[in-house]
Amino acid sequence: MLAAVLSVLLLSTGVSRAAAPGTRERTFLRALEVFDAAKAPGDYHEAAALLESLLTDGFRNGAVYYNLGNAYFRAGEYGRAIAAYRKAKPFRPRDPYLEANLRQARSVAPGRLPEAPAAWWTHVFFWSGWLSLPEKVYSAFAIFLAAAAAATCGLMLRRPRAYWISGGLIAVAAVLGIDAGMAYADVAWSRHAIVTSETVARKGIGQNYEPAFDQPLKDGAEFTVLSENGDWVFGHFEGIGDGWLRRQDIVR
Amino acid sequence: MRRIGCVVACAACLALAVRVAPARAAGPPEIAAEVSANEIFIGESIDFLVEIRNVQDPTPPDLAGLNDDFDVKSNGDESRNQSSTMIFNGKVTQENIFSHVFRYRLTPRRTGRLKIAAPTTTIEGKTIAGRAITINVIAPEEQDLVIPEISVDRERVYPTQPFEITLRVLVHPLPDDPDRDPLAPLHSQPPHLDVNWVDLPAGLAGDDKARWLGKLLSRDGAGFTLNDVSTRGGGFFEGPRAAVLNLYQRREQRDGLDGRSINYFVYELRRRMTPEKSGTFVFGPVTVKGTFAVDKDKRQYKGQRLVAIAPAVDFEVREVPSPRPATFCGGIGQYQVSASASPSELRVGDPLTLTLNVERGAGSGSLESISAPDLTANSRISDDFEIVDKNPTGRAEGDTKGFAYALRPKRAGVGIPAIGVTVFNPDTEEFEEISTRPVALKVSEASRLGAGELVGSFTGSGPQEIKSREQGIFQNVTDPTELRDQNVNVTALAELAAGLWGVVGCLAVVVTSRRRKSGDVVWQRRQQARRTAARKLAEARAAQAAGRSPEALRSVRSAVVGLVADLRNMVAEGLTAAETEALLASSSVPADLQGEVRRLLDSIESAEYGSGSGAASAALIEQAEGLIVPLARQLDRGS
Repeated sequence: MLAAVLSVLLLSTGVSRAAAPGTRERTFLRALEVFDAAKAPGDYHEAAALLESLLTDGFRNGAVYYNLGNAYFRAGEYGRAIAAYRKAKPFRPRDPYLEANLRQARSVAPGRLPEAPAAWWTHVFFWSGWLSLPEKVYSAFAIFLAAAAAATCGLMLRRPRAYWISGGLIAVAAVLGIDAGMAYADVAWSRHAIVTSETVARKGIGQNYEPAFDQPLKDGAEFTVLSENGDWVFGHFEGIGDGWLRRQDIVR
Repeated sequence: MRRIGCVVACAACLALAVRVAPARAAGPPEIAAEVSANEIFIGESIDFLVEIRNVQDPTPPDLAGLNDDFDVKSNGDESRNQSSTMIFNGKVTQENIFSHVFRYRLTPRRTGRLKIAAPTTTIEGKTIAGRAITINVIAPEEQDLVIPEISVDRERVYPTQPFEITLRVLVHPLPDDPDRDPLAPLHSQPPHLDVNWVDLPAGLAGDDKARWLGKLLSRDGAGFTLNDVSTRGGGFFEGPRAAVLNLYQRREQRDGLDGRSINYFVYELRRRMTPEKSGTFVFGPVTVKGTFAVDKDKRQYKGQRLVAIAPAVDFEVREVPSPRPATFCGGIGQYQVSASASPSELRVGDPLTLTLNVERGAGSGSLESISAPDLTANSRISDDFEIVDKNPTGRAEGDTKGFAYALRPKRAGVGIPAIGVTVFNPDTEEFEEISTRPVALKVSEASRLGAGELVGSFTGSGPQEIKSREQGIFQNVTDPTELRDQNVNVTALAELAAGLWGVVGCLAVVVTSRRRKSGDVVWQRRQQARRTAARKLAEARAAQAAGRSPEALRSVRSAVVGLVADLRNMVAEGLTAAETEALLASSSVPADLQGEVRRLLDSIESAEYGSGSGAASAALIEQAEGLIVPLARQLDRGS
């Protein structure tokens, strides 16, 4: 019974809602072929476009984001490459190649800025950088199920110790659930953004306002979105300050 | 619709009723002028205000007549137009008052009575003029009591080269005590300096004013006041007061007007500045105003009020000569350049970062003016490399500014050649080219990643190999089985977990309830009551069929009385018909049902003790069967 419920659940949460799997695989492999045969930035752009087409209708996959980052990197679009690598991270946290490529992209990006300090909760939930988002979510859910099973056993078999086990599992599941919720919020409503083309940050919404910094921002400058207004985004740039940017010059 | 029509009609009537008078100005155009002072010393300035009235948008007045005797500087203008509307007896009158004020600062070029020519302006082809004003410009008297001077430590500089300007004020010693500070007796009314570079002129950079002057504040109150520089008073309720600066430096011998040598006290106000642009900067004139001690009568000094003026000094900041080499980076002075590349081993098309560091020598210009050299101008680089970032942002750290270029080699076997950068040497006044050393690269021909170039397959080697590789990026993920949707429906999972726990909760409630009730005899008795009654009626039927009428009647009675006793938790044995009726009455069973039960029990009793026939027994059994269900329902309801 439990297996049936889990099967239905996993099918409903994990299966793509977009293109059929076969189509998606063909596009993925085609993107790899274009990438491998590429000799000019335009070819890498084509590979990137194919990979982007996979990420429609809410489809998320760490491998696609990772390959997308590689394509943008080779195309010379370091801001977009960094954005793709960062999107891959919650799904491939233990991938050393992803980490290495992200570091490489950040090091060559002309607009690189000091990296923002890690969120406080990543220090509290020390395992946070080790588990992927699906792992966190499903672990929390599985432990909740185990806690429910333990509670049921305690109830049916009149074993008080099972209640203690259930309580412990609930505590663990709650902590994992909070971590999973924070990670999910970071993926679904990310406040992280990156400059993709040279642009001047302003002190207000409009080109008439004074520049916020003494130099234009360049491709790869990462920042935290503080607020948004129409076509403009207000961001905090680590180490230099805050400024308004046009939405067309950034990627999130 | 009717309401809207009404409103429109009312508005139209109101518009017809109101007669609007045209807007008009209050009077004919006129021009007025005034000055802030009628008597000044040479070197001082006055404010000159010209007001043009009754003209909506006047052009600035013509002040050409002032240029012979005055330096004229505009201080901006201001519109004072006002408009008022009056409605009287339905007549609307609008009155406009037009006034525009133009402000100027006039600095006399000579002494004497100078006439400020009447300002003129042209309104609709007609020229109107204001009044001329005469001011008295006083020449400083010749004296050797206070001598101000301005000097600059360099004759000329180029932008970014710092220089120092010094105001020196020589003050005659006190008549009775030549070694005492001559400003000490003046602490109640210190002499005042008027200096035009306290606030830095546009195009010059220097120390923050507060930090610069903060170090010069006098502790004993003796010294000079400067412009409008003030400091906060010591008391809580005291407002700001003029800051007194101690500028004393040393003594200096000079001849006075009478040829005698005077050992002057020398006060100096120094400021270091760095020009940001070329041009001519005028420092001064500086005026020194105050009352200085010239004699002593008994215990009192006799003072002389005077104004001394230091003539202005023109200082030239020269432009870097033109034409300038294409590789000129904006550096003025002595610099060194170096280059490095990372990675040094790569394949064609791979990005590499070329870092170019420009290091400033002592006394050289600001790093801010150093711009990234244009590598596209270097044909050896542009032929061999694709320059991704042509104009990188520099990062200044200490005396070095670094530029990081992103390049991609176009073919194998290329390297970074020497990169020449041109700077301007202000000492020799010539451009000098400085170059980096060539940077060797190992660029391989591969157009795609070979297996040997990769650190390892995606699922292969460990992280220690990652650290050893410093170039390029790692290969793609190529396994299509990894292509699953990693999206998670957190909401659904949370709802499911909550639902599951809800089920567990319900289960717990049910189980606990069942367990609690399984130990409750009363509850069990109630649960069994109907079945017990039905079983007894079945026994009655069987007995009646077997011709055992008395037994059948006992079973019927036992069924009815037992049902009542079970549902009311009473002992069935010994319950009489009257007691049964009383129990039914206390359980709010309807009276007709009570009556039927009573009649049934009485009939059974009569039949038991009378001549109970088989037919009567069958009828009583049937009657009892008809009563059991409504009776049980009523007793359940009343419990």
